[in-house]
Amino acid sequence: MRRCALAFACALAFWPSSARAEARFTPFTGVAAGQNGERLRVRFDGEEQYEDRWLWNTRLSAGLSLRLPETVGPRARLDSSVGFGVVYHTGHGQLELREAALYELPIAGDLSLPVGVAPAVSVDTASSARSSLALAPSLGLAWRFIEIAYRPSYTLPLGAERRRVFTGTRELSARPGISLVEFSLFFHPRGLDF
Amino acid sequence: MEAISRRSFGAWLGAGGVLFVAPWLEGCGQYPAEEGEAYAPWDFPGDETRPERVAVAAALLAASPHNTQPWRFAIRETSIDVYFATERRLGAVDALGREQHIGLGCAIENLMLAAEAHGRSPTLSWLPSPADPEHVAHIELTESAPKTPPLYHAIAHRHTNRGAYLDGKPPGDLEPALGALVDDADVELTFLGTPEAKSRFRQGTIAAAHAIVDDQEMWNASHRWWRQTKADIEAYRDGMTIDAMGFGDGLRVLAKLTGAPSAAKAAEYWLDRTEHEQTTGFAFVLLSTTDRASRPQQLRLGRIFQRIHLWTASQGLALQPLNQLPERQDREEQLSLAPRFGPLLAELSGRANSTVQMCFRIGVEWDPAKKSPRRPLGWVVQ
Repeated sequence: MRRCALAFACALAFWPSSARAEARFTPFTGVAAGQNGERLRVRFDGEEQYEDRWLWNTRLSAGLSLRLPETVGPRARLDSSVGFGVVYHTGHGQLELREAALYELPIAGDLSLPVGVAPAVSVDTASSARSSLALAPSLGLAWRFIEIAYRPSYTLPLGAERRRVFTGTRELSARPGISLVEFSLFFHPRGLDF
Repeated sequence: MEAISRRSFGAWLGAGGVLFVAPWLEGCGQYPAEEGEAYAPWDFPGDETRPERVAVAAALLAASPHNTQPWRFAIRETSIDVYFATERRLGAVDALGREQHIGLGCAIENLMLAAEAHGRSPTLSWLPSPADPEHVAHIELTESAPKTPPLYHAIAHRHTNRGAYLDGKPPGDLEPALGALVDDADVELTFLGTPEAKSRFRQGTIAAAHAIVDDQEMWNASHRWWRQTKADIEAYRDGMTIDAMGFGDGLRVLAKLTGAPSAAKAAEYWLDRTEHEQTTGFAFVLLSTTDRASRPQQLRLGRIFQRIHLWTASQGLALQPLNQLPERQDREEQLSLAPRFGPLLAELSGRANSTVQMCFRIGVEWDPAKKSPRRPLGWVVQ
């Protein structure tokens, strides 16, 4: 543990400012926090009623960043990641598969603004019917190997838990619509490039 | 310099992962919900085969105020006697013993259903020993062909849901369906389903909850039934637990890790939940009788309430008793206080004087309810 902390501190202090020219793939890891929207919908007597709620989640993710050839764009990259976390209220696991296409707008020195799109599929591991697809723009700020990103999204439910209730039905699913709260912090340790 | 090695990068990831999931690991006061001997009676009827014992095993799964389970049973050759376990009194929070007698009625309803399902035709006598008010019922059981009442299957699936419900308009046929379950001329059901009536009940309940908290004796009597740790739950197998309170998983984990709240802190949490999650739903329902002080009527009303609760479970609906108003009504009577909540209940029930015995909310749950601990057969049969 101590060795890990020391190595991490060294990386923060002395990391080279640019990746090796021949490198294409960079592993990365991240931590994210956001809110899951859920919708409870009931139908009785042909009439529908629903309510929404917002539930906090956090996730750890790991992935590979592919720096695209210069012909595509000098600062374009694709980030593919797998994340796993917990929705705190329900205690359900959340498996997230995300593919981000980003372009780094240089600001000054090692500082840049990675912007692009970062769609994701989020699978509820306890109830797959609560899974969702998120169509998300990504707005970030990167310095050397650290990057923060804000990813609001438009969520599309991929299913719904359905059951009979009294003379009607009850459905619980991801909330369709815009989710505004989703923040991520990524580490791209370029010494692991290959 | 050579940057982080792949090995230490992996170790860093692993360490982060452990920190991330640490609250979900056992130990540190953490314990899983619904596991252990305290929850074994929910495996109903389990290994019991003798109809009289199965009937009592069903009875001990009934609803009771603060999960006090105020019952004792004597199983005889062809009958069962039910007693009020007075050492389990709720004290100032159920000042007149009304709620616990309703709870005894609930147990008897389960007992009657299970007896029939297991080939015993029950004949019930209320308060059979005038000199012994603790002897609340005598049930003669005669052998008969097993006949499974529709609600029998709901006995092991009925749980009080203290979480949030969808706060909406009730289905049109809910009120008549509940009314059809009331088969006693002395018991009346009042359905509060309009936004105005719900708002009045909600405000009254919140005000009554504040009055309960402000009444130190009442709140202490209530808080005495709080079971915080796994050891407490295993030792007592009754009372209110973190898992049965309708909290989300994250909050339940946190509540277990942080230790028992003081009575004052618990009051804060309870008031907050009364003001929010616990006053949501399709409707509030009042159950009244013609004579509020009548023990037989309270017991009979208990049977009806249990029937309603079993019915809601069978229909996929959620239910929670909300008795702050009647509890304060009783307290006002006990201490000869100026009536504040009694007149509100009278108004809500549409009567000149309140004879309301029991209130509850009904609706569609967001999250399923968790089981409450139960004292096993060996503890409740004398």
